[in-house]
Amino acid sequence: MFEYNDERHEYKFDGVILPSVTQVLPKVDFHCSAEVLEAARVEGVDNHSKIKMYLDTGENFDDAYIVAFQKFIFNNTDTLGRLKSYEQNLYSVKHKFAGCPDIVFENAIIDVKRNIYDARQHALQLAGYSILCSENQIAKNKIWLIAYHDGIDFKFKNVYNEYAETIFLELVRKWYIDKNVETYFNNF
Amino acid sequence: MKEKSEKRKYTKKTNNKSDLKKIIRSGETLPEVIKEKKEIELNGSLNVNPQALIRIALEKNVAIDVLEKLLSMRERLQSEQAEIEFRESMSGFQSACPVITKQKEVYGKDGKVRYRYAPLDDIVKQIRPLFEQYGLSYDIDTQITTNPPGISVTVQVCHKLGHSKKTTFQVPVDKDSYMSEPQKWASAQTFAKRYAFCNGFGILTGDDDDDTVILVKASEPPRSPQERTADIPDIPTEEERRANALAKLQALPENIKEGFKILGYTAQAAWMFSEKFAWGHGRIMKEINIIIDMKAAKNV
Repeated sequence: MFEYNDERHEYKFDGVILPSVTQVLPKVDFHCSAEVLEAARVEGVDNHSKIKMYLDTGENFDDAYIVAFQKFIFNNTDTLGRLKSYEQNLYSVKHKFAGCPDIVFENAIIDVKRNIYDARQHALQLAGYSILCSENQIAKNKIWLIAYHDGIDFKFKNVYNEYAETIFLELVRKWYIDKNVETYFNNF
Repeated sequence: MKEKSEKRKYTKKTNNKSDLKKIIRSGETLPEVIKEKKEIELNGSLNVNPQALIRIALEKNVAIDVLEKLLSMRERLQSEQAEIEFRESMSGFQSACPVITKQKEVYGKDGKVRYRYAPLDDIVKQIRPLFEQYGLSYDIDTQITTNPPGISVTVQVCHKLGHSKKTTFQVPVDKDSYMSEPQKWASAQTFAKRYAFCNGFGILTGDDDDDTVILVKASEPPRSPQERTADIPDIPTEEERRANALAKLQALPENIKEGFKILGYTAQAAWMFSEKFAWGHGRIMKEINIIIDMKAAKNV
């Protein structure tokens, strides 16, 4: 049985902790102060909450960020297809990991970020979500969009990479190897 | 004998002026200095023409340390003079400076004017002619502070003779305000710049219905720049706005707060949601229930 602990951001399957998509990704060094990083995190959480609220209600709340996102969705309806899910926890029984893609459309998976820093890294994250969506029969597509607000409009970039899913699954395996090694040393 | 007499006379006059005494004691240039004394005025207020002293010293090839002392004295006197001129100019500027009208309106979600303020552009536009008249200029330096995260703005008011005065105003960035991150930083910067600038020049910003203000002021004695600065009308700070908004959210019934928690809305989103439904508890709860039911139906 799958469960998610909201406070600890922890996924479990039959009581065993599962790695999340972001946990298995290679770590990225941010060259900025802890305060700036924390401010960015808070802003990211707020922005996701606003988008969730928009998708929940269909209202833009006269907020510039939501209005820009609404415009982005309206302008790309044909490309994106129907909305399938958003902020929904998904689990992979086959590969033993979990994650929560921001928004899944019929033809595209969207991850909302503050900006694009490394398309290869983003591709790995969206590869994880793609595997989850495919296994849970939500969608199977090759449009992996990173969407970000440039202060006025939403911009997006397709970071799809044909090798990313394979590499992502290697990272999942690595996570389990690292965990086993750690357990071995801790229990020696 | 005559020379000794002149020396005594001169030394007596410069009794409290150690620099000059040292120059005189250095010896060799003394007679020439005395000859040129028409160009040198010494009195209780140290009214010296240092340029003349330096000229004489250069002509007579005095020792370098003497020359250095003269240059140092000239520098100090010029600096003192520049400060005096600066204060006179600032005094004139502040007397001539009008009460800046606050014309920029900020509207609330209900469409009503919440408050007015004078943007820095407007302030500068209204007082620019006075800068030239009083020989003043300014320089603005902005720095990011880390503890607490915020903006520190230093305005340096400069006078044409070289004297300047710095005024710093620091504003923390309000992490919890309902703005995007760049907006929060920009807001703090604009706010700090405006207040640092007004404090630096002793500028008063007033309401746009300034007829009343002028009438009242006419019957009052003139006030110091400090008093005028203290009178800058209260604009709700980001801190106050955040506190008000959080207090409003805290006052919501528990079931609504629980609803927002279930939906995973942050305080900012919850505030926007409540604002949308005019803070009507029944309406907010109804909307929350619709969303929760809709999500539950999808999961089924």
